[in-house]
Amino acid sequence: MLLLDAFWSGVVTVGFSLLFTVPRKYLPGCILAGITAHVLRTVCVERGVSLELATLVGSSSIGALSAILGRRYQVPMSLFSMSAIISLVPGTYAYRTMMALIALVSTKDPPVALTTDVLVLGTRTALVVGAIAVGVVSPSLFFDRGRT
Amino acid sequence: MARKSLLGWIPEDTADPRTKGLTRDEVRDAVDLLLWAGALLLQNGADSALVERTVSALGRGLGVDAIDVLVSADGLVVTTTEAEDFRTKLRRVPDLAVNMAKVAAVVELTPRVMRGEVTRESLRAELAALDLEPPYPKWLVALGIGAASGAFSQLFHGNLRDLIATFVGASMIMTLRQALHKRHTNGYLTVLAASLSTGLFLPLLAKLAHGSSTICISATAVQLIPGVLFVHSGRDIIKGHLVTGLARATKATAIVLAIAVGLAVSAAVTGRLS
Repeated sequence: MLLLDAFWSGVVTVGFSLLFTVPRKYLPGCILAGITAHVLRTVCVERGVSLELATLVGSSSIGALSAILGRRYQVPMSLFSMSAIISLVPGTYAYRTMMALIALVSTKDPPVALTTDVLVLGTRTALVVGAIAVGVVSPSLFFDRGRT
Repeated sequence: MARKSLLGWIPEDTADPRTKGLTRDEVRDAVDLLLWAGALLLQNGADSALVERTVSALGRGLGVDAIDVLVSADGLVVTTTEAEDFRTKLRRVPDLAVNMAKVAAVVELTPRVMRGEVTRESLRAELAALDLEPPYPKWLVALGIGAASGAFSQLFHGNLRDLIATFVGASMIMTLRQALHKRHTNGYLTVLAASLSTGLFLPLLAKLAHGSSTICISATAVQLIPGVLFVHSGRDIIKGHLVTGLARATKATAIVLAIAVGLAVSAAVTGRLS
């Protein structure tokens, strides 16, 4: 199960590395960061951690790994982190938020449950996206203290 | 050409930049190269701090005494100071797609310039060669995005039918985006067209393969989400580059809205709401 999780998140990372034109020699680093992050998130969620917090754990691992790799190869860390974060993107949540929002405005006398759906799904999507951004950036702040 | 300084206490000889360091022409040359390198970074998806740091380092490597770099949302300003003389130049930087290979290549040049292995002339040649470097072939990128979206359908707990439908659909959507990009279509319009066709064709493909349209659509639409912009926006704001950070956040939000409009319209057309 976890192996499949690792495999598919690896495929996601490779596909988006091609889109972002990551040079071939840096691909293993991207895959390592992408797989680590998604497997960490899955493990956390299975242990009962909320998706938002689990995403923060996963994206922090990307931030730390890409800062280490960037320093080792003397290249910007975003080279490794950009395609690695994609597998963490809450695609179904975003989609379901939007569909619930549309349903909310296109039905007469919308049920309260629909309003709750929009709020809960929307907030979770926003928090997960925020967790990705904060998690990827913050480790580099510790690594790069001397620089701007 | 020794000029009389307006401020009497400045010795005349230091007022002439040619008495030390680079000549005026050499500084002009260096500023041009710095802007070129900075523009390559900015338009291929580097964050503001990286552009600033790299351009400053290149400037020091080229022998410029002091350098100031201002990164803006769609432009770059560099000011170099040699003794009392300064040169400022602005360069507009149109947005392009993310191309990490070019960003990496410019950054990899920096230590060589600082060690003096690369002079102004050879730097010009290296930057020109960078501009010509071909990226991955388009069909490979389309298949890669198809595979990535198919993988997403599995991460979203879909089955093999969803995987096949999403792989085919997402590769087609990526091909459409490449075709529109080649014709220099407006970026938001491209996203709108892509999300509209995602919402229209993926349910069909899902039906053909007996898969779930929700999983197929959301797995395909992930490729449109501006993840790089969101993360760079966060990085810029956290590191104090508020203007570029807000500009990137605004752009990312506009793209998300374009995705939402496309999917909403197609949902209304296919009548999945009723």
